[in-house]
Amino acid sequence: MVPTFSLRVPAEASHLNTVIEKVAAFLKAEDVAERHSHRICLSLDEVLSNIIEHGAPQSLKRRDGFMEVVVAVHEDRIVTTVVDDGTSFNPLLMRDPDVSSGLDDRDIGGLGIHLIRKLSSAVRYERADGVNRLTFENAIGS
Amino acid sequence: MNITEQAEGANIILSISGRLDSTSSKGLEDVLLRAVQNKAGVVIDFEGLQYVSSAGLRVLLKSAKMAKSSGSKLVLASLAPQVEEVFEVSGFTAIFAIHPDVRSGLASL
Repeated sequence: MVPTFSLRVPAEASHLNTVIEKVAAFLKAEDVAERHSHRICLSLDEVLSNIIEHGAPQSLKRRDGFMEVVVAVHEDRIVTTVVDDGTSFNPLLMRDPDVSSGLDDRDIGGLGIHLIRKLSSAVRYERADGVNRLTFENAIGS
Repeated sequence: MNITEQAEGANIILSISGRLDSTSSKGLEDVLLRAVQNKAGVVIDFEGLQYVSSAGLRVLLKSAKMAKSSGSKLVLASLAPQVEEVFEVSGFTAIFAIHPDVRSGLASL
């Protein structure tokens, strides 16, 4: 059986750190190397922060949505899936920031999704049944 | 996240420890923007920093732009390996002067 962590919380900022701490503890218990755990927790931080900040339509006063995190530790890779019922949003369609430009031309935004792309070996997005589902994989081969 | 400030003549050393994420980055923004506007040189000591997310990177980028326009020098020192990886993939290693320790950072100002 594949060791799996799963947690569903309200899409609110107060839950962000709890989720990340629990995922970090799970990965440590599964003997995942610190550098992989760091990449996964950072990517997760970026995805969840986006959902909390942008997931609700502007017109809604209350969010009332959820976000769900599933982390599965396979032999050669770790697969992390984040599901939320916020506004339809495919981060993979965002233009990547030009990370080679100098200080004057550097944009302040867009770095979060760039980090997820760079720190993962694969990223997928799908919208179905009214939810966003973002999956990123981290290879952990020797 | 914890920030300690230490004046060194016309310069200042800001030592950051803990996690620099969406929750804590605002605290650094206030301190750092004030420092680059009022000091000739600013060294950020990252020795105690375990984690930086894009929210923290945004604050650093904004401060670097502010430092340039106000004629201050902003340099970074003592990056942990996992923090350095984030800087590399973000292209920040080309934008910032990064020193192995605070002493060489101060000497470069």
